Amino acid sequence: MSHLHKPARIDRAPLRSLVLALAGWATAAAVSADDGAATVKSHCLDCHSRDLTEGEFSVEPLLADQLHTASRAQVMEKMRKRIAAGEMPPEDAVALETAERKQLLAWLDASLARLSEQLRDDPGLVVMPRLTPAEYRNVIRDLSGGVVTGGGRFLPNEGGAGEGFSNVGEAQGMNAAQLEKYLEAARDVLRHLRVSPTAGMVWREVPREAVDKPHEARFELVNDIIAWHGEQQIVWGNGHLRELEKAHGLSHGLYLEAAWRYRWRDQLGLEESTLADIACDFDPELSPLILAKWWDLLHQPKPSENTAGVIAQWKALPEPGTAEAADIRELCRAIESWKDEVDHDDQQENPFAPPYELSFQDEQSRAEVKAAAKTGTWPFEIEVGDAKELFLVLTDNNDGGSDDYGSWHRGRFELADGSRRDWKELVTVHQLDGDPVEWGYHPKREGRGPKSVGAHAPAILKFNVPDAAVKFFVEFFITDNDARQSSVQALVLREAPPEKHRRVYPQRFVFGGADSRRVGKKLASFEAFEREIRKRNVPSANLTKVGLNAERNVLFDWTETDLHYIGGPWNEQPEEEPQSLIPYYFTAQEARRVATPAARERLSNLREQLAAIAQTPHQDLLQFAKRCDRKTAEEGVLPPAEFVARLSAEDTEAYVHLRQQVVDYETRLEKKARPLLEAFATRAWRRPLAADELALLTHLYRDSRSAGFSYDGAMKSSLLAVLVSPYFLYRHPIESAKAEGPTPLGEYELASRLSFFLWGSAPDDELLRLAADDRLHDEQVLAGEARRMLRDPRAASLAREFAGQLWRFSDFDALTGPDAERFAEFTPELRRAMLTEVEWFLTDLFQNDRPLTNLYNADYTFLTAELAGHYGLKNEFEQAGGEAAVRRVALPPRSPRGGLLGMGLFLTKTSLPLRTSPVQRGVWAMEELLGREMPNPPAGVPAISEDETSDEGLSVREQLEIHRAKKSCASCHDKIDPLGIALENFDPIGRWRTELRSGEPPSTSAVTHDGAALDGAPGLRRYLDEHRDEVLRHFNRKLLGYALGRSVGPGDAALLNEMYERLQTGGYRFSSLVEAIVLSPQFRHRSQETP
Amino acid sequence: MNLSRRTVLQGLGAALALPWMESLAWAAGQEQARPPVRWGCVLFANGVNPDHWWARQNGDQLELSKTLQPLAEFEKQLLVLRELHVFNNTSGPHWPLFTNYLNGAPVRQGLIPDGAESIDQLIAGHVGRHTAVPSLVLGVEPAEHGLRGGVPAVYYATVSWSSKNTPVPPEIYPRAAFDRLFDTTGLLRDRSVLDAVLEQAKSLEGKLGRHDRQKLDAFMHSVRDVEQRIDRATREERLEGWRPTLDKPNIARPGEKPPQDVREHMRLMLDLVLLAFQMDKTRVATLVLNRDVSHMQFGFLDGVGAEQLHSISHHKRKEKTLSDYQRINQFHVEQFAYLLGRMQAIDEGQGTTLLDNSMLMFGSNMFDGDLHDGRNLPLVLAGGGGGALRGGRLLDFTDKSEEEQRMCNLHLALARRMGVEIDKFGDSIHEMPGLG
Repeated sequence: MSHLHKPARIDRAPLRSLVLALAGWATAAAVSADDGAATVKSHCLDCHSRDLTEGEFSVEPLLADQLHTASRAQVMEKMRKRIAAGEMPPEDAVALETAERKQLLAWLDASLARLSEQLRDDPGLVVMPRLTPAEYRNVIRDLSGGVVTGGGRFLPNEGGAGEGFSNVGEAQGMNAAQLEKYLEAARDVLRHLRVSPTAGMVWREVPREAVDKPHEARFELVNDIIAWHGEQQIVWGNGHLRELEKAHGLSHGLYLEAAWRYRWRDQLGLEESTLADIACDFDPELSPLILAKWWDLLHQPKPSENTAGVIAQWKALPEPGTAEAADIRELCRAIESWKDEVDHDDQQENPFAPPYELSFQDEQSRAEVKAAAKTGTWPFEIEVGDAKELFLVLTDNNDGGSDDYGSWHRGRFELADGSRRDWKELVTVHQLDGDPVEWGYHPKREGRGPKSVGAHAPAILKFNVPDAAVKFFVEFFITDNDARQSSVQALVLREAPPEKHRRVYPQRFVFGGADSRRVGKKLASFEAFEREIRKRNVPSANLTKVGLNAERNVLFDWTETDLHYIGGPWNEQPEEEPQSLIPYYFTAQEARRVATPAARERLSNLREQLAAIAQTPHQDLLQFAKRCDRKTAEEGVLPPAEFVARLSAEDTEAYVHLRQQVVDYETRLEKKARPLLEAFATRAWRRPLAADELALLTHLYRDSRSAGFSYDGAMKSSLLAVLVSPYFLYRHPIESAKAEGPTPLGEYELASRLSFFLWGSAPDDELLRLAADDRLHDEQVLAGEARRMLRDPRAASLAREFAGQLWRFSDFDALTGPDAERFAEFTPELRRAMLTEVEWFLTDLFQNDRPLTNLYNADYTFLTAELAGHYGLKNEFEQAGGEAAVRRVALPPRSPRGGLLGMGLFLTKTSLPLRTSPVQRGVWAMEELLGREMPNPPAGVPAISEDETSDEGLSVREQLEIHRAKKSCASCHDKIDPLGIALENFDPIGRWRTELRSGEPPSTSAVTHDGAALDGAPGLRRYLDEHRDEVLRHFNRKLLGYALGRSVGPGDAALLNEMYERLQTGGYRFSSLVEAIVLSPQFRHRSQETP
Repeated sequence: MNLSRRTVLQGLGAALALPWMESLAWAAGQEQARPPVRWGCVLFANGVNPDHWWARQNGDQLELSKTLQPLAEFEKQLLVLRELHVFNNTSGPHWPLFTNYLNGAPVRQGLIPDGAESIDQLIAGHVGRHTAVPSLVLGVEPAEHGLRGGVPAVYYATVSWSSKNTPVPPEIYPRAAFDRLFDTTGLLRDRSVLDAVLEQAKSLEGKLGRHDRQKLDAFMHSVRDVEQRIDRATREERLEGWRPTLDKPNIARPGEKPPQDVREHMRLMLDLVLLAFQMDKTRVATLVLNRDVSHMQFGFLDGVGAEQLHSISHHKRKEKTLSDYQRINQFHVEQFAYLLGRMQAIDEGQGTTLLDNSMLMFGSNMFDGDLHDGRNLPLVLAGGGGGALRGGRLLDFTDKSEEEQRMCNLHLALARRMGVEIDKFGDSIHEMPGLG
């Protein structure tokens, strides 16, 4: 800790460093600088000269005293490593004599010690880093309050530098293509946002279409309001009945019984009760409104055919007091039996084939639906499964239309061998009653060709599934004309639909639309609006009749003022008769009456938002301009001067008045915009805004408004500028601007450095507040914040980003390594579970401060049920208890798992498609755990077989042995292979195995190059534990490199030593490393100079 | 500031009304009534089966090896080049043999990417100002994250460099490429937003130290580049001279995610190149079909196993592996042949096809992938180059001097045929002779 209070050294003159360094060599090891340099000259310079830079390495600048202190140290460190490892000089060069070698190393050691003392705690050159894709994603997540989790997902993967991490500013490039990616990413993020003058900034998971024009913004809210009504219908039409059913075993019957009670209220002692009282007293779940509608229904003078039966039965219910009345509930239940015929909420799973996932929120399917609608051709695809027959169903949507046609064509089967066959070759199509249908038949006109069959709805066609068929494809075709004049549903099913669904299949897509046409016709002037609604595919309005009903109700319900907002006025329409027998369909007014307070608030919120963007002054001005013969006027754009000049005196007066209204309106609106922009930019730029910066953003907003953008659209111009700003994309200097030499970080800079280190994201409000109060330079506060932040869930970024890059599992989710046929068990789910195991294990390790030795030795891990099965730890998973999908599972004693080595992810990642690779696993343990660097393999190395056994019948192990017999291979493979061989009990997808495919047991014992006998994974674990200093020092170095965003140099040696000591005395706790780093001068200073 | 930005924003309506105008605009104001020449490079990494990639000259006939057979029908539009080298390649690991394919520069291992501007970007810098998009840099297989073998993983995925320190990450999302080419909505707003961003950058500039300022300079440069691109894409000009044969994209906007099936993904990328050329949205395109040390699997080809391409390329002369290798090479050739076929079918007037007006490099960055052999690059040149290339021939540099064998001579020659007036590129000694 002692060095913490020293100021960072700022003596950077290369020449002086050199003199000092030279002095250091002379005294420290009794080796003269000349001796060392002379040895280098005689042994290295031949190959490593400026002209002949073998291995991209030259010693000439070193010998010529031309290097900065830091570069000098780097060069010497590299030399030391290679020479100490015996890799240099190479075999074909003149060897160093032992004494010479010793002397050279002593010289290097002494020089390095001196240099590192000189460079001690130097902040090093850290160029402002650009946000990496992962950081971008995290920052957007935090800016959106956790709502938008996929921000920047199309940004290209970032390279790496320094200690191998992508957050090294010096190495990050920028060009036009990259900038366009950021523009695109920002636009994508903003699609998840709605900005309204009343509700402020509201983020949502599902993106929306841009609403840059004022009328588009209003349409969008109208859509939401319609959707709200649709939801209400569903709540009361389906949800409510289901609730009753669940609680009482009947639903409609309860209303019938309540109505019966009202009818006989005098006899039941309820004379004082109104209908509503009855409903509430009888059962608090009942809706008085629905009961009232039932009452009217039961008393309608001219009941329809459908309702007459129910009414008669209800009227026939016994009087109270009679013996039969004791069973009144059962009697009502009996009446309810008709519901099967009209129940629109069949929850039963039916095997249908959706042409697409028909969620209209999903852009992809929306595009497909659009494309299909355009051609009238709707592709279906169904897995045949064990079905013997397939059914082509065409309903008439039960809407009274009789002119409903469609045809099925281009049927193909996919067979088990992957080939496809035309259906005409394999099947005969029959009517449901068994009559065969001729190919090419169409009930109305010429068919769609000889391979199609037509049908007049309602119709069900069927055919036998041919042997070996696994999939069936077919296209449903409906002509444009048919689609306009009728509405049908088309389904491909694996079993015949139940009788009750043959006219209309609940909750399934309707092709065409009699309803829409009818609505459109009635509301001729609504046509444009109606088209707009259709285009936007309000889900509830399309999917169900209930939704259509809601839509119509809302349109009817619109008052003239409301219509004015959305571009009316239109004539008000009379309310329609409820369309159905069931009294659960509400008019718009009724829906509002029965809604829950929360739902009502949501509606009124939407209506307020709509009112707030009605822009009445703009519309008035627009009307005025149009009246004055200016046809091209645009809402929100002031007419040009020549227009004003031509106006009569009277009109000018009117114009001036209207214009003032607009200006006042805009002033009020801007007052709302400005604080939103300031708050957002402050978070995004991670610092307070200067006045001119806010002014610039406000200008942009204002300009967009004057150009006729909606409020939402205009705000987004400015927000886009926030998100493409260098202030956002770069972790830019704030207070310590223009620093050349080492300079302490300012408060906001420190806040950012801390949060990007621990969270991979921007500072939160608390950090920004502390920075504003100048508190972060207090070491207590800084260390306290680091502790708080480690506990925060955002610290999972250390596992994902830091460890993910360190151990290279960031892209594991897309790994398709294992051969799909041999390892069919390696499903995407399993892959995900493997990634989860690693991420959870590490997050737990870091957040809960477990000893870092757990990295290679732990008696627990985190599993899903699937991964537990894969590992053979089902019982242990069960014993872990709880309901959680991912559980902390205690490993049984002597389990081969525990620590990273036993995790499926690493074992799979280091395998080849068909077999394990002891070499890759060995290299992994060697380089990524022990931190021992291996040189690149030479060109032209002999290959090991792709599968477990070579063509000559040799096992991988035997082939490796032959390999190692060659001296040039042995120097590395003697070190690598034993570590990998110890893991041979794990198969290529990380399962435990006791035999290879040949039936032989895998041999897992090997002797390391330094003489340790390993037997299996436990042996490797012991070996790592014996070398824990290497494992931990490697980890420390990487963590420091990640925290600083640069490579670790000789000047960091003291800090690395301190980190290691802290680990040892602190029970190997992660937090002790974090504290040492964040309090270090390196972390708290920056420099623009190479020392 | 306000005035210009407002004017720009107000122009939005007009531009939207004529979404295809900009594609017709470039011919105007230029003397050329002839179709422009397009430059393309389609590259696949990891080398070829050395036994089946060759061509022989039999009189005026070109005899093609098995792997090259799919190109037979374009024989008259084909130059096969033999014994060209990138001499600055070093043997050993992969990346120095790949990422410098189009710049011929030595690639150094170090903290900061270190290469040179590639020929595609250089050409784009000259002819790109005539089109909505200066160049397309496309890929099918994404770059990995972070470092690989001590260098940024993007070295294994791209051959395009916009400057000495900036490799261009290839676009692998078909939708993003499509939108960049054809979607002009929102561009005018972007323009005014970028104006504001540039102002922000300027006020930051004064506060930065030396190294930070270099980063910001690159950023500001990029902003200006994008602004210029937007200006080009939204400019309206009178229509005269040569016009592209297509006003609107004739393929649907691709889905958000790339196709799962590699074949579809490649096909889509080729279609985008074709469409961009046809509509004259760009005249320069680079497409990397699979990256270096490719993990791509080709199990969909008859008889080819599950191994990754990189493993297969290390065939060790095993019969089965060599045959898989050949089959995969041929698959890549088939992709290129598809592109040529489509280009040949597009009539650009005056008796020329799009293929006649293009010059396309196609090949790999190594010869025998097993040996990491960066000499004798497998390379064919297709298209008429607007009259500059005369096909149906083998250009053999086997007996030529080392200077004559440099790839950069070819880069220089093609760049000059694209109208770029330079005398030297990379380690070129002169323009490669004998192409026309």
